[in-house]
Amino acid sequence: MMSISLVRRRRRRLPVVAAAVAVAASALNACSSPSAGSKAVSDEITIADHAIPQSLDPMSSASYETTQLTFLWGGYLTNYADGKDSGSPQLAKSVTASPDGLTWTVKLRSGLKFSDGSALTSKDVVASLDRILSTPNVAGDNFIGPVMSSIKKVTAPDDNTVSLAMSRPYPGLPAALSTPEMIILPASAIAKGDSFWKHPVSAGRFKLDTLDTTNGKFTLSANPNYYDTTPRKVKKINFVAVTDAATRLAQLKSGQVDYADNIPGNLLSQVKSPLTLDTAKWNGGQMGLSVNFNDPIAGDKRVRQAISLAVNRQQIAASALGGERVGLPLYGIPWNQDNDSPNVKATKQNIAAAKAKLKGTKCQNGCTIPLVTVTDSAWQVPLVAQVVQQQLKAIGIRLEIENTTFNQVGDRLKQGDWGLFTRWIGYYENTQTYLGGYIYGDPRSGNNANFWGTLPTKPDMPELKALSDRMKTASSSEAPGLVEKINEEYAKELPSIPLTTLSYVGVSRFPSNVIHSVGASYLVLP
Amino acid sequence: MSSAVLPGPAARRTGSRAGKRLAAILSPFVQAIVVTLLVMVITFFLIRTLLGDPAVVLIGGNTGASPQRIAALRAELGLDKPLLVQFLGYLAGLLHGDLGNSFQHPGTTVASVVVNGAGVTFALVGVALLISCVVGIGVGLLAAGGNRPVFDNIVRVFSLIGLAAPGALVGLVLILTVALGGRLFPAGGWGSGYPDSFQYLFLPAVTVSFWLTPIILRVVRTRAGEVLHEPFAEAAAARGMSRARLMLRHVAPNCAGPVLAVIGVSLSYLISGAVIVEIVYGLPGIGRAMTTAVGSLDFPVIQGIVLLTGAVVVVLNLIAEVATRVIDPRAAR
Repeated sequence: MMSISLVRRRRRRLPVVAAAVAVAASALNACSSPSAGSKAVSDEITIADHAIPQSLDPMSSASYETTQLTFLWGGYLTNYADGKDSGSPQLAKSVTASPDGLTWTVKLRSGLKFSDGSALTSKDVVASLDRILSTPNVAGDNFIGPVMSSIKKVTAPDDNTVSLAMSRPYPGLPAALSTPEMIILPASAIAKGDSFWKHPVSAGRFKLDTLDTTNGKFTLSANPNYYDTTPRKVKKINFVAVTDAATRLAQLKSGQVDYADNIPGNLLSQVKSPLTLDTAKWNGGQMGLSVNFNDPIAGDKRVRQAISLAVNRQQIAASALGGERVGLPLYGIPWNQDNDSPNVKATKQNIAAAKAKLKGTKCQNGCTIPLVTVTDSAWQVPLVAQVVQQQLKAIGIRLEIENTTFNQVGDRLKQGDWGLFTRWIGYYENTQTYLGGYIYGDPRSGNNANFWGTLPTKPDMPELKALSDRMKTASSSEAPGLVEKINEEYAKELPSIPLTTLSYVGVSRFPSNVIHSVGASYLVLP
Repeated sequence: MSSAVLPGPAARRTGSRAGKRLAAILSPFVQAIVVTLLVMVITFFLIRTLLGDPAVVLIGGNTGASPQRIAALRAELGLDKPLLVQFLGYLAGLLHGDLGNSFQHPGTTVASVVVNGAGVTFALVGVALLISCVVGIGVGLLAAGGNRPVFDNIVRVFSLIGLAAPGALVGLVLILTVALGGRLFPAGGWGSGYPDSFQYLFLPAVTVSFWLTPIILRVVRTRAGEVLHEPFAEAAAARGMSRARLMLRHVAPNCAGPVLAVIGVSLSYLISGAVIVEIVYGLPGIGRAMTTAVGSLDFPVIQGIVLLTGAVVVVLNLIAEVATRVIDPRAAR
């Protein structure tokens, strides 16, 4: 038997050992976790992204995380910003149109340089825009298709001037030049091809220092050759990819990161002062249901109208999205950065009216509609699908949810045997011109079967098509009135069923006037 | 004429015993190689048949890329060839030690992706194994050693929790309590090399070990309980050997065999469990590399990771089996 004194000595040692372990652990952690909630911005910040960028080339990836990085290291002719500043000069000193709108002249600032010190001239701008123009079928691209299909040719009359010859007037060109794909790259680097993207160079406020593309870890530091020499607070940025949202938020709370992007609605209630919420609205951001017009049930306008009457948009915003900060009820085509839908009546859920609409349709006594949903992209999508599925039971419509992945959904939709598709969409370009492609598929692009932002062509909506076509070339004064008319026609036909607006919510250790997002992925930093 | 039974020719040494011994030694290695190759072949054909078209993903095909552009990229990646031709090309590369290049990151070799990630994952699994063994064996011996009903019940409850709780849940609870509440360790992430990264390893390793520790604990408790009732153990106790000495010198070594067997069987679960934990904690291991590769249909990286993890699991199982036989020759029979 063990002696009693030995037992007592061992028992006394245990708390000492435990305390030593705790002290050692705290010491190990001491240097790496600054307290959460300190409000002063240091010159180095860490941002936790929700995903690893698949590519640094905005022509290869339009993802949120790629765009967030691109806007920081990329130089653009014009600024991407809030409201009236969108399209204001950046690398360009001025962007002016000829009276007929068919020629745009860009004057570059003098003495421009890339972050590696090489000169930036008009030939680099031409090469950068030509890179996009020479991309096969770029006119069909859902983001830059409208603008690129309007540009005929880009030339450089001198080192500081770029001339764009247009095939049709495009009033929104200054703003379009600020969108992610319009990044200005060295002409010599473009010729290098893929190897350039191992360590790309541009003329943005920051430059890329280290790149770990496999793990989504990047560091950027202030570009010493940036054209704007105004002293700025933030000089270094660390990007880390933390794919789990709860962990992302935990790292923010512990002070490991300063900004955590794209926090789902169900976690927002955990955010307490001094942490702040940063709501970044997508331009034209929408959660909705796209329609397969070849489906005998979903293709029936009365069924679509019944669905629109039967859904409870407030409930979708509250339960699926976690509150109106993430999404507001939407009844028409969202317009401008506030995603208003002018001239569209807000409708309340009306089950009786919805059932009345179904009389004489294939859903009169109940029906099943296949609903295709992407599960691995926006977190909102599967949640919205589930809530809508529950809501439509009240009118006898059974939604059969079919989950698929982002990579496979295009092929799945091309198979044709689906009725509805849960879509989410937003744009970078804050002009009316994207609405043309947004609302109605453009037959010229051969892009009708593509789910991303365009709809299958529906021949018997001539009024809506005509209005959409006019939108592509409408002046900024004509556009708001046109949107109202579009929404009137839209409400009659419902070629898709709008549900809520779409926003991303980030959480910051700093007040929102210090760091905030614009258009979901453009970080405004001090 | 009388006949006598003459002695026949001397029995020829056919070497059957030596042959059997050689076969016994080589057999596990051959099996290991065959299993690894089988895993590689199945993975190769499965991912190409089921996962979709990487060219569409790489080109951002859902944003309206033309079929011609997608076809050109497919040809560039060698995906337009028949599957068998692709496989033979892959095999030829393997024989030269070339795992290929990542589709997602042109110019980046699969080997670099896998090796960088493997370092983190194997460090995680290694530390998790260490924690599981130290805690499992220690507590198991304590539990076997005496009549402590309260302690036994506590151990039993924690064992059940450890076995039932999903790794992601355990990870999040530890982050919330230990990292955020206690501020003892970082809430995930990774450092800039060692020794800085050790602090980031601890909580993830505890999470991974949460499942294995109760299994080792139970195995040790049961075996230790059996050994304590062996005549030699009772005799040693009767001669006045201290309990601690008895447990450490005589009981614990007898538990090594079963523990090694459990570890051998659990290795593949440990590595697959590490995938979830890496995502929860944001560790740059092969688990996270695998989920990224699957999401972007980066076939060469997927194959490389499957090949590496398959080979490692097979080899470690082999080592565990050999070690078991060395520790306890009775297991060889």
